[in-house]
Amino acid sequence: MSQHVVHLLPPAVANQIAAGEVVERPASIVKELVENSLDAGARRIVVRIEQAGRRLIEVDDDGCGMSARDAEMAMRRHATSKLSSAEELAAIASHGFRGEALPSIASVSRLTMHTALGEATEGVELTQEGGGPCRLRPAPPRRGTRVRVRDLFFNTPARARFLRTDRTEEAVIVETMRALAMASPSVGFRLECDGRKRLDAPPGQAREARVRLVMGREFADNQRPASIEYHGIQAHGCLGLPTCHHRNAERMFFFVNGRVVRDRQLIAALRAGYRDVLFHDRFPQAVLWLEMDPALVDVNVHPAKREVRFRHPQEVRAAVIACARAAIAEGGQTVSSTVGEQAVAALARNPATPAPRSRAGTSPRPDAATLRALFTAPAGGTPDAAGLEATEWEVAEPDAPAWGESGRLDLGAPLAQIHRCYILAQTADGVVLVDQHAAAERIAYERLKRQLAGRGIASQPLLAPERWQPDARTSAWLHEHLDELARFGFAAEPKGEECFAITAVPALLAGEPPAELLAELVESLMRHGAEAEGAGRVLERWLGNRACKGAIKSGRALSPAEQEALLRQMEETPNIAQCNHGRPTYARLSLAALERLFGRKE
Amino acid sequence: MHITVSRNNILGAVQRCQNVVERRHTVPILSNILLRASDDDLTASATDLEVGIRARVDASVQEAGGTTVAARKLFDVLKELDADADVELKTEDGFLRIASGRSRFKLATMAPDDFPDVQEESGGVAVRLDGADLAAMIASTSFAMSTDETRKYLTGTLFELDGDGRLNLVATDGHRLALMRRNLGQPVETCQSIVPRKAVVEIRKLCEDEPGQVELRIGERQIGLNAGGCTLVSKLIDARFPNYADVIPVNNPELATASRAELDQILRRIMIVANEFTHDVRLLLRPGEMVVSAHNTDQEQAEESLELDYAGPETEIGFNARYIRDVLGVMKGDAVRIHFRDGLSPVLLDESEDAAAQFVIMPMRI
Repeated sequence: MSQHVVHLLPPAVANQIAAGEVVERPASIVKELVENSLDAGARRIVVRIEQAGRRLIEVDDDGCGMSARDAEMAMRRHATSKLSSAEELAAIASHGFRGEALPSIASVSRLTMHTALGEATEGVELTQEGGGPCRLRPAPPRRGTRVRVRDLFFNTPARARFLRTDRTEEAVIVETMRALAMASPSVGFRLECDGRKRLDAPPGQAREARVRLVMGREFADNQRPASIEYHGIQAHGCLGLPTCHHRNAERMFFFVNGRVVRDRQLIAALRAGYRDVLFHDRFPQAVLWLEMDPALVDVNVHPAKREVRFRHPQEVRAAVIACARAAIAEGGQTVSSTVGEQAVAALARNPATPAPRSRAGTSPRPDAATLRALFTAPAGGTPDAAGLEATEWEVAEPDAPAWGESGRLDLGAPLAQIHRCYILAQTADGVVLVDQHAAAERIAYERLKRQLAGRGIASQPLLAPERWQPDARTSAWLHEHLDELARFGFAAEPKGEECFAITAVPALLAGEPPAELLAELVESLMRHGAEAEGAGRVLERWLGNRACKGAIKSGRALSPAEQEALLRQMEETPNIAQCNHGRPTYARLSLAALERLFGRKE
Repeated sequence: MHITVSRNNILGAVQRCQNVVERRHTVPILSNILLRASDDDLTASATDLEVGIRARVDASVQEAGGTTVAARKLFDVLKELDADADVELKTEDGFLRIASGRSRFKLATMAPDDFPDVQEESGGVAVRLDGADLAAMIASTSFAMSTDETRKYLTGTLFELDGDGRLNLVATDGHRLALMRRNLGQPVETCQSIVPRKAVVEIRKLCEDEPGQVELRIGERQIGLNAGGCTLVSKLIDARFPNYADVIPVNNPELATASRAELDQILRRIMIVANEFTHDVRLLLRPGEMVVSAHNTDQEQAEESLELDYAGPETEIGFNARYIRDVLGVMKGDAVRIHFRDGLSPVLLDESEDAAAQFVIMPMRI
């Protein structure tokens, strides 16, 4: 036997290995090819899929195309037009650069590429099967490049078995295309799956228009645009109202310099932006474009480039939070129209009588049970199902919040208290239902928060210091940052490597357990850095708990004067649309919605 | 069991027991009260497994025996019966029949064997003192107990017998402390134990109702009280109480004396505009005068001054006004003495040189 066991892998095997990273599933091929098209300056990109990409993935663009020689080179590993030196790697502005995509794809499929240079009179068609030899033949000229990928994983049956059902794979492709389409609103995108049109976005769209097209009307009507600049980072976003939330992070889209990115830090930052206006286990819906100097982003972290690394993560985080905060400040008093839609949908689906499916149908009279259903519906916070139902009924007025003519929130005059839980009020063009506890909680919380922000935090020193033994990591941090605690009303002295004496606590929270409070604060400071906006976040959360305890409870009878006072206070309170756990505080039914509900008006 | 008993007597006993019964206990029988008749008395007992109470009343016993019945319901029934009439109680077929005048009740019972009766620990140190005195000691200190369940040792009151033959009660929530001493006039074994809030409250009630002396027994794991016909036992909080002597400032150089009632009224007024959660007020002490002031985030302000017997340097101290008012509220005399060092060191309040009660408040950094 030979002494030498180490040898270079044949290119076909190397490419198949690379394909394991780059070509995870059909959707990743779509992503790689579409990004190539974008890098080629395409204005329109058409993607055709058959059998969820198993049989065919075709990407057709009108980009700059390639010469025969370039086309052949492109099929080799680490061949790219986008990068020529290591220095350039530090500031990549194009989507691709690794030179892995095409050879990887070709190694696990039957690939055909038809391309031509812009003014050339002749094109070239290139075929390659399972990473075998590359065959070129002349072809008619065309504008741009068309890549067809057939019989994916035909030579690697093990990989094919790992694919999910066609339905799932197709859904992933659609999602991928939707994200790409929002990343580049100026480019036209079209997606056909087995001949059915799944996405058709014309070129030259503005961001908002593209978002409306891709995310749907419901989101478009319940979002607020925001644009901010922070330390050279441009953040533009379409940010959903806090009450227009989702059960997971899938309705958050991030684009960093035009690249679709799914990054945990960004998701965390966006959630932090929504921190005290959203249910803790719900996620915001948002589309966010971040533009910054390419040198400040390292995209060469993940083979499929889904993750990125920022040179200054804290600044990016701050930019995302500021952007979200700007949008919330704008829309913090507005409850998502989906809440109203759900209310109407709940009314329409009277459990006592089968819900009429026809729009002109006889609408049931709301009895007590229906009213209860009506009022509890928004609390569940599931805009998906109920919202769809409501869309079918077309009862919702797009974006008609309860704003008076002066541009201020107008919650109208209280008519009655219902079940000692809700206040029914009449406004100029409909009715408003207010959850008294949720509203009172937000009012109390905002008041506490103002006190927290209003001046230095009053500090209550302790009679006897409280011993606290945090873990080693926390202790190490604390030894260097003890001074920073003063800003929050805390004081502590080191008593050993991993032992501290807490000597003062914030007076506002004097009744709470000092060690627990400080542990949480320090944890947050360690995670978000000292200048964290969330500096006060931990304290705010504790305040939130206290606000909840002190607020008007459900079940308390309110006099008409008290109802009136609560509504007026709500109008003065920022972020009043949701309590500090993220439940909506009021729902609005427009007169038009009611008229449709009762069949008075089509 | 079959007995006849005065309605007023049994109502008092049941009411005492009722106080310790937890409304929603996970063990159903603990919502009940145990009634046991023998010779010529009836004992009623109840427990929540932490605190147990037993009350004895005279009764004419036709047939000895015992049963348990829902405490709340029994109390509500007895309360409604004719105050001057006798009540007849009889167990029959698993029910308790109650008869008084023309009223007849039949209440469901549970077997007495399952009832965790109040167990008294033997041993410990026993002392005797006036019930009224012990009640007053508790009244002067219990306000300072903490509600922070994560620091168990602060949620009760320290009962201490010291080497000078004194009973000391101490309560603190970490920001302020209240201490009251009483000379027992007898040498005692020293011991310390932390009594949970609920037991402290019940001991106070029993002592207030007792015109004569009570016996207090402090054991390893239990505190017991005998007051008249009632016995209370409670588990102790198994923790170490902070060394309170370290916290009490003994050498504060400055002393100012003010009218207790006047200061209390001023604080009550000034607090209106103070932060509604921290109640922070400023006390500016200068020769002859104290200026109390407060302001809040809405720029509202209040200020008032009062006469002060003081000749030291001008000093400003921030306080939670609530803490001062709590102290002023339990004091009895006309004057309050304020011993302090500077704006940040612990402040001692008392009524006179030899006052039994001392109060320490930590200033607030505003």
